[in-house]
Amino acid sequence: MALSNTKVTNVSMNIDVGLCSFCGACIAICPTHVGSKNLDYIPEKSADKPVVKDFQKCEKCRHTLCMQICPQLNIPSSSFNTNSYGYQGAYYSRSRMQEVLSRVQDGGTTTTLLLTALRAKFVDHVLILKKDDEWYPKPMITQSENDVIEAGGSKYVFSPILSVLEEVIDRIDIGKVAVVGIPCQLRALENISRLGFKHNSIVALRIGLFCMHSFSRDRMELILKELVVQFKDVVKMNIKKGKLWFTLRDGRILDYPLRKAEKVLRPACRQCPELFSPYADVNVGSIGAEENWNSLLIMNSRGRELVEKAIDMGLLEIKPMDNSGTETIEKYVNKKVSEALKYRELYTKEFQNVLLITPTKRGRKLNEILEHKSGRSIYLSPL
Amino acid sequence: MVKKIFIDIAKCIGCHACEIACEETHGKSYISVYEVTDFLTIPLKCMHCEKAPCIRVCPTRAMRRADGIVVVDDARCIGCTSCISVCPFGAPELNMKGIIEKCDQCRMRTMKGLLPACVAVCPTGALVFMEEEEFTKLRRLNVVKELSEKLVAYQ
Repeated sequence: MALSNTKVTNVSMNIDVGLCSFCGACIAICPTHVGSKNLDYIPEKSADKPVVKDFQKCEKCRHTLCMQICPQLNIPSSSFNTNSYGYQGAYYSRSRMQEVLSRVQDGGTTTTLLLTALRAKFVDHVLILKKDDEWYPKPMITQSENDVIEAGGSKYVFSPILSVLEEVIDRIDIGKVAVVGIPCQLRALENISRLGFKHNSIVALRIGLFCMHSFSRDRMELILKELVVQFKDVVKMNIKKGKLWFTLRDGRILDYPLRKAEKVLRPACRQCPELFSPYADVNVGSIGAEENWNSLLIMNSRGRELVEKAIDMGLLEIKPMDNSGTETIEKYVNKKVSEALKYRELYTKEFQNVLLITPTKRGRKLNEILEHKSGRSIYLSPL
Repeated sequence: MVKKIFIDIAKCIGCHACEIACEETHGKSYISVYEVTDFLTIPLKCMHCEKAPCIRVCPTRAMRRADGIVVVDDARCIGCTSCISVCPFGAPELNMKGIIEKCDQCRMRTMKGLLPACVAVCPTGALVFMEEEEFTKLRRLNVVKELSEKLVAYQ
């Protein structure tokens, strides 16, 4: 297929067809972020995808870094294999901190682990996600424990948390940061690390969250419209027992069947094979856990160190996961992988001209150049 | 010690991110990346030399050293372009107003505790902002890493 030179090759193409889960990594890596922020998100206009302001600027960019790290374009083939979802240990966990438990979904494990990381000086800053009254996500970098506690609770809407990395790499002495993210967001970090980009060296801790799928804010608004409520009335969201639960300001609790909500899923979520991130240090979720507990998967020694520290400090309690828990997780992993395989195949055909355009404008591919420079082989998805 | 922008050419992948970022900050790019081959790309910018030839030849002393970096004093510059002829890197440029312009290591940004724009966006760390001693150490560590990888095979 002949490529026309006039066509802009950047992330906007896959954003247009819905292959974007709005992790924000491209916003952080775009070189224009120091000035005009050519690739940006504007909460009021497009709450659920990055926008390109000036396409002419993209023409100058030679390696289209945004495409190279995109977690929806570059999904490692190992992720489509159920065997890669191993873990070192599986536990149930619950926070011992009252101020955390009162705010969060289930066991408050994520918030507690973040507080532990800050207190034990594992990291200097954490990337967290706050929301305003209208449920517009507000990603930010912070050192304050209050901010971390306030950010507790799942959001279930796309949030460009990695866009904050731009603030991190801009500063001279920032130290190390911890990132909390759903699998696609951590996959973007993994792509960054696989390419050997420097942003990765700043991230010292990755806490993964279980994710079946997330919703764009616009879609969620439609669902709420059906229930005749507004975003600003919702205080808490939850997914449980095949239903979406909304806790309202006036105390009412509404539900919406998940099966119906899944009809409006983005292609990005349909093709994502990861229930939990194989690249995280620990993964936290509620699948397989009993009421008010979290399931906690320890993925590597760093994750183990963090959890042990949290227990030592008296902030967290854990108990080993029983067989029914691990079986449930395995069941969902298989489900997610098999569905993703099906859709990935479909999209590869359907969006061929989007996905098959050579990602760099120079003759060589970026991974070839990096392989030559570093002497190690770098895998990039064949797309 | 003064922090400077250093270039680690071996790490440059020719993505031109630094050029774009510099243009965003200054309206014009003071760094240029030349693609010699697919694998060899050379970024060129003002190196803020210790024995800067541009300072020596400047007849009006417009080119001077401030806080360890080489800067142009707009009020004094007469646009004689002597500095352009002696600069080994071709860094200074004459602008439309007849005044010499060049990299100032993003003083406006570094004063706020931010990295210079080109360093901030460089994805591979080919551009670094550090003290000279630190950079020397980094280069040595790179050599050690490379050598050790090669020597492991002979063990």
